[in-house]
Amino acid sequence: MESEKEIWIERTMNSLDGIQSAIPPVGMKDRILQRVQDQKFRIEPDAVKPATVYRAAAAILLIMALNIITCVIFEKSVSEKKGITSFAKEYLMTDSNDNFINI
Amino acid sequence: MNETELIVLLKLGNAQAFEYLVDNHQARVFNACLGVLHNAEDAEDVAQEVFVEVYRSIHGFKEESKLSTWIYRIAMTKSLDLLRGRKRKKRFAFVKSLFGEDSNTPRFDPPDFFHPGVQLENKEMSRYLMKAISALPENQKVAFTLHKIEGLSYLEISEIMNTTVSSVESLLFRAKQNLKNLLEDYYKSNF
Repeated sequence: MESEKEIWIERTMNSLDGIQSAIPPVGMKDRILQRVQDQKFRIEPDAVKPATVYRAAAAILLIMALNIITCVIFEKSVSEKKGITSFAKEYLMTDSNDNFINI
Repeated sequence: MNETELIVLLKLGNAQAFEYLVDNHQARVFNACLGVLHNAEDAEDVAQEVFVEVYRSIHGFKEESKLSTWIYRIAMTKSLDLLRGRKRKKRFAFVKSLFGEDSNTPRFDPPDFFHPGVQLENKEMSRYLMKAISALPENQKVAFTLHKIEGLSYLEISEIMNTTVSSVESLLFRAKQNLKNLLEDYYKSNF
């Protein structure tokens, strides 16, 4: 024999039987059409997808990093060359144009 | 106008076609949102967003499903998005209260919801059921609402939720179990 609690639960579970559709609020259709109309003239703030922005930013950062690395390596090789040249000059191993003399 | 013709006209941006679409689907969308959100104002707001989304995305509609299935899917997604946003705010407010900020801010407690379509003799009991439905996990909530309130078949629900019929059966079974457990708790605290 079902307890009162079980009967109550069963009846509550069935309380939506025969439910009718709710009637949309008056004027909802006009508000929808107006909102879509407003949308047509709005400049879309998210026209460019965030993923595209991130990819572009990553590409720019990569190019900058490559440029920095290239500059550092170039500077290093220039300063190394300068160091070697000044060393050679000390030992009179360069000509007047700072080119190495074949000994 | 059949569905194929309607879709062609919608993709061409035909205003009358869009008005026809709204006429034929606004009640369905409103009811679907109301079933999940349990608030008529929220349901109308989301219904408006649904049709804006339909207008924006119709060009990408691949006609792999019926138009109504696609619209239902948008309605459920947007309704759940709103609920998730509210939960996030509630969580944030709770965290703030732990740090002594806004300790007097009342915690969000959804008011009782009486669905306007429920039969009069069931109105009081349906209040408890609606409370219990709002406590279900998202997927179970959607499946139960689409089945019990919208009266959709398992097949239709599976197409909307992009899952299998057996998954829908399983979701509904678990939803009913959970609802019974919740109702048992409500019974113990209220009667």
